[in-house]
Amino acid sequence: MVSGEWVQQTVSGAWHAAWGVSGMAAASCWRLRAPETRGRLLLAALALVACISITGLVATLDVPDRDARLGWAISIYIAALGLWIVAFSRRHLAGDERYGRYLAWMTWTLFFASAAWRADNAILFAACWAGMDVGLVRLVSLQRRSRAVRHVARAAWIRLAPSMAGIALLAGMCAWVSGRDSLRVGIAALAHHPHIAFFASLVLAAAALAQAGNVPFMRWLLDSAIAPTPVSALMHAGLVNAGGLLLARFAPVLEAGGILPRALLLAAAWASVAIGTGVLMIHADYKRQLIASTMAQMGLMLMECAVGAYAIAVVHLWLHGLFKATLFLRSGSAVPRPDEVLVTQEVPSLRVPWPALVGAAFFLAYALPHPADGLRLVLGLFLGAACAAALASAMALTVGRWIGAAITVLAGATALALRDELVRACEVLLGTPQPVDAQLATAAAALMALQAALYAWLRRHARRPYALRAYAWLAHMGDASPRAIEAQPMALERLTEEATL
Amino acid sequence: MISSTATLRDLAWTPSSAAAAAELALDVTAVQWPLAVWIARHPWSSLEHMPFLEAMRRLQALGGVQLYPSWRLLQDAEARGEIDPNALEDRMNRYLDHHVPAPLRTAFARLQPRLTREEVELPISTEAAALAARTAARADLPLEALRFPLPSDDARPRVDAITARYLRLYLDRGQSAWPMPGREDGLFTAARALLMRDPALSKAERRRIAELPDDPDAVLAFGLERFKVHPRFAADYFRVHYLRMPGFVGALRYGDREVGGQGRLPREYLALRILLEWAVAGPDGAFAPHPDLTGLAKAASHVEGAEADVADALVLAVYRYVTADRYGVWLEAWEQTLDQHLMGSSETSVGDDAHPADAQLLFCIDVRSERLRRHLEALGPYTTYGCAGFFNLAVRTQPLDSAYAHPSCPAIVSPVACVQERATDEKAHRRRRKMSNAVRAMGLTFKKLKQASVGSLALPELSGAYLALHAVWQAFPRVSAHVRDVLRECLPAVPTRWEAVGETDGAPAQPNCAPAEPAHLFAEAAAQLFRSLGITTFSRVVVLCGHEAQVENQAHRAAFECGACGGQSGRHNARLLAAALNQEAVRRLLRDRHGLVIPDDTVFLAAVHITTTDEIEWVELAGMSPQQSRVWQQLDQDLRRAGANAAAERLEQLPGAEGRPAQREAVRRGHDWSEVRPEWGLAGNRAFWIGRLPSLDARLRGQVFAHDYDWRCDPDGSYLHAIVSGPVTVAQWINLQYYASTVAPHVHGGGHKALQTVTAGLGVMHGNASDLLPGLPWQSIAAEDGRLYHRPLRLTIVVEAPVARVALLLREHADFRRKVQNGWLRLFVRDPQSKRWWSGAEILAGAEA
Repeated sequence: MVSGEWVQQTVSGAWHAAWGVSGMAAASCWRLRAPETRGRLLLAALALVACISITGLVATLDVPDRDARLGWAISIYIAALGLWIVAFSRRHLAGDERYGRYLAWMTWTLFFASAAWRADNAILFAACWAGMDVGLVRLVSLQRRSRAVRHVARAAWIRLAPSMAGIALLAGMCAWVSGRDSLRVGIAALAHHPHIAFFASLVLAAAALAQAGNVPFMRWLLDSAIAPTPVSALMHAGLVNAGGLLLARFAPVLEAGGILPRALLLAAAWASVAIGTGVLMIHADYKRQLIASTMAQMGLMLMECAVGAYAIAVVHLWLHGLFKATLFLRSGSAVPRPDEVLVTQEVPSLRVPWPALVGAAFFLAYALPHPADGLRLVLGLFLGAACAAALASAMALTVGRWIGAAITVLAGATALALRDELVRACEVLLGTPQPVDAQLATAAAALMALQAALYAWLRRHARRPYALRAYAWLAHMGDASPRAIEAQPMALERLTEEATL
Repeated sequence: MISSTATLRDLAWTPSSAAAAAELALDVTAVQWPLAVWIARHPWSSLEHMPFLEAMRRLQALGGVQLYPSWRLLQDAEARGEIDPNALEDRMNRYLDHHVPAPLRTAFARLQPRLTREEVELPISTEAAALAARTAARADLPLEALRFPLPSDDARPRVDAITARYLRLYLDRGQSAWPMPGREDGLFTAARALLMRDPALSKAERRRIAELPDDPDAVLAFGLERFKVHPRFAADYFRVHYLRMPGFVGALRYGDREVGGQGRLPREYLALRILLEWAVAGPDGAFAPHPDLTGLAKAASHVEGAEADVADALVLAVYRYVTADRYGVWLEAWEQTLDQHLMGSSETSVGDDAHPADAQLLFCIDVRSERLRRHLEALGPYTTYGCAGFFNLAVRTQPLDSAYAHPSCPAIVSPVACVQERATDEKAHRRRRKMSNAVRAMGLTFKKLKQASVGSLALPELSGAYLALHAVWQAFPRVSAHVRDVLRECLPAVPTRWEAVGETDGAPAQPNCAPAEPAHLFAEAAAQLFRSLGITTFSRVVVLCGHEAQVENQAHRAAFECGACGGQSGRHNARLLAAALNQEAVRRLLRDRHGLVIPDDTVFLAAVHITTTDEIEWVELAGMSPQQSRVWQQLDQDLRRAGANAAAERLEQLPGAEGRPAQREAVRRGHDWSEVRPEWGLAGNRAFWIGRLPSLDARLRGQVFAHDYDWRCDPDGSYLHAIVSGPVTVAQWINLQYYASTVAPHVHGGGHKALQTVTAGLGVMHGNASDLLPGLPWQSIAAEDGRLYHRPLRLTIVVEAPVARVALLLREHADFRRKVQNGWLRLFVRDPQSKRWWSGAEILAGAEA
């Protein structure tokens, strides 16, 4: 045990040292305008952090410290994400006047995002969370020449305040109730006081919703398309999902708080899923679709947390991070091919709607054996829809449709198997899995079914007045606020006025 | 004072008169091609009937955007020696002679030097203000002294945001899962139905919308009447609205063109703008252009002690000069100084017939081909020619497995036939399609799920791991390039054949497809091509070389490809023509009908020049005899070396590429998904040389469009006429597109590459939402944020022909003459017999004398 302690302390020290080196390398990049060797040093330091985190995770696998294990796992994820995105930004933002500042702030923000989960001290935790949000707004506001950016940054401070203030309040409550500054002790102490836990759960829910850009705090996320592509990738993959991790860490408090805060969280998260999906279906520009998708996915993650399936939520946020970051980084490839946009494809309509029937059959086969398991119902719904989509796409091809369908289904099944493995691993990481709240899970399943039915109905009767109203409302909600839009990017005018050869 | 009251009461606007005014207003807009087939075109093609200076003044007044290089850039150019003080003097004098009325010349000449050289503003005295007021009270105040605020300008951000939203929802084709309801009824009707329920407008505003008529043209008339628009300014009112969103209007014009709508879509746009303006401004709004008193007062402060009768006119002349024309004078001086580089270019030694070249290569006129041509000709006995990249084949090409027949020719030419690639071995084709569809099914499912209402929630978990793998793969560009090549070779190769498609085939006929006899089509195209290039004898190997670019993750990818082929690769045209010219039937037709004899031991090959890496990929290698094969192998080696040299020369100018091994860096840039400047494309273009490729001054390398031409093979000047009508126009479009993107990147550019978002599959917006930016992104014209790469200069044409021929051309080609006279192009002629240089102005003056 003593040697185990020593190993952990060494690894922890090495981790801090590696982040220190990264931070200093980032600071040395401040005045850069183009890729240079200093950037490579930064990448090497981030790679070092990732390696040390892996060592740390391996070292703590048999130690009964749930928070430490979670902290190392998140550190691996953030370090790998940071390495990838900073490497991308090194080339993508080359020539920008604030190039070096982008690299620096990205590194520091990632440090705070990662350190928050390794900190046991309540005050440090709150400070790291605030540092993460400060970094986020700073990254968005770096394109300072644009009036719209300045407006969005100012608004983001106000809209992210519930998140920062909420965490500060929580840290204070932990310290006050337990009399000590250790977060672990504080959480355990809070869980023993139901009334305070109730209030703390409400604060937790608000902070998580604000950080994830969900209802009613979604305006900052919807206006954030103004940030450069790598910054958006970083934000959506690493920063908005902190809410889920927060709820995973404070799970005992949520349990003790009663059903009302979790039900409210479920309702707000579901509203985000519904609105996000609607905006995703309506809007036609790539980045706005990705942002709406993030809003919906974060809503789903918070629904899973509200229900008590923390391992599923954590795996979801990791996979979503990789998914969203890749989609953002390849936004230049979003231009459709000429035969997709210039030729109206004749989609052969099927007499019997095979795909929908097969999807429904899959759902029944998956969910009926366990009708009381709400989560299984939700997953069954999703997978049934995915099956239907796979079959419908395959039917649209003229040659190779069966092989295509088979390969797609196989790929999907492999991915699901991988995900199940990850969930099992995560349950080990998070300690003994708590039972999922059956009432809330069933409520979640019912809400998802309601959403599916609602959208199907609205799209079928698209010309009726209520459908028009829904469309107009969603289009308005999903669009950025007028002050965050510049019909002509005036920052470029200023750049060209000042440019020489 | 400009009055818009009194005589209007009895004038009523009808829908048709309003529509006619809207038609007039279209001259400040230009068609914008979708991003997938993006080609460069300049925003002012309908304004070439007026002088450049006047067009810029007018656009500046209507749109509020300065369309000249900035003062700082001009001063920097002068400091570097790119603007000769003598040239500036010369241009100032010419301005004085041509643009200032005779009575004002002496007074203006006194003021001109200070106004030109300094950007200082004098304090406005009371006399100056009074003078300005008197000038403003003139009844005949020209348009450029007016300002045109719209009634809705108080709420301009809101109106622009709502317009952008509805336009992109309307223009969307398949990018969104829930299409705009009622889109079939038209833009105006659908948008209006939604705006009645849009929370962006208040209740009072929504009630005002209900007052509007249903027909868009009637709404135009309504707007003109209720906003009290004077008939003189009706078209200008619409012009101002068009200039607020030039990108979207361009996309609407493209859509209108495709359905043959005769201008209905742009009018619906105007109706939508009037609807929003009425909602926001209400009955109190009025469109009242007023004189720019501040500007006039500043101009008046320079005018002191002038006689009373000319004071007004002098103030106007000074105002015009200070706000716009002096920058034009600087620009002209810059162009004049740099034209000296062209004059300094010497001739290359013309290959004589005693030692014919081993191989002849035909490249595109693209500025990137010039480097490769120069390096290749230095390496061996090769002759290269430049011609338009579509090789005169105005056809629609439909590659294997594509549903889209692309017009593989410049936008000004309409295709005369359709050519489709068909597989000769159906079994192999079917096998290949099965394999590729098996993978494609996954991509299609991904796209479908992304837009589903429930399935999209499962997508990250189902595809997250695969996308992460994809990202890891992309992070190592050179490795992924190798592996991609290997995988492509794994697909079973399918032998294919290109066939002309007509109505008899049973396949759905594409528009503009005539079932022409293909051999005649090819023979005609080849004859025209060779004659205009002056090729009379053929060497053993003749290569037709199209070009394309290898870039990764670029929204404006089509801007790097061949513009002469409609924004796609030039390989299909090269392959088609080469294959045709190897056929006996076509050669016979050429001999019998067109008098062009191709020797039997000449073989035509097709290749494509990958401009990002300066490599040549062979597309069509016909069966060759041993001698031809020997020549070809030597040529292949020499092309590799020439490519390496050209790449090394080119990479010196890419930021961040100096000091790296050229070939590796070029391959990396072509395959790196994070690279923001893979190549410079056509940036830096400034001249068009018609004649044999000269040995250019080092400062002109990679900046010249080079089209070969031999005046001795062109007795009646018809080929010169064709070159000027076709390739020169395309080059001028490209040049002015780059010019517009450099001087006004916020209106005519393409945004910042890291802040772009692809919208409706047709164009890009900047940031959260914006106009559908029509031009080239900032990174395509600037090396970094404080440093431009492309010099905003207009095109110079150099013709190597006897001056009498060019004078004849100018007499006959009205369009070209107009462009030269009005200053949109500059023309120089080098007479090959007397070796003397003539300028376009001299020739025109001589013609009139």
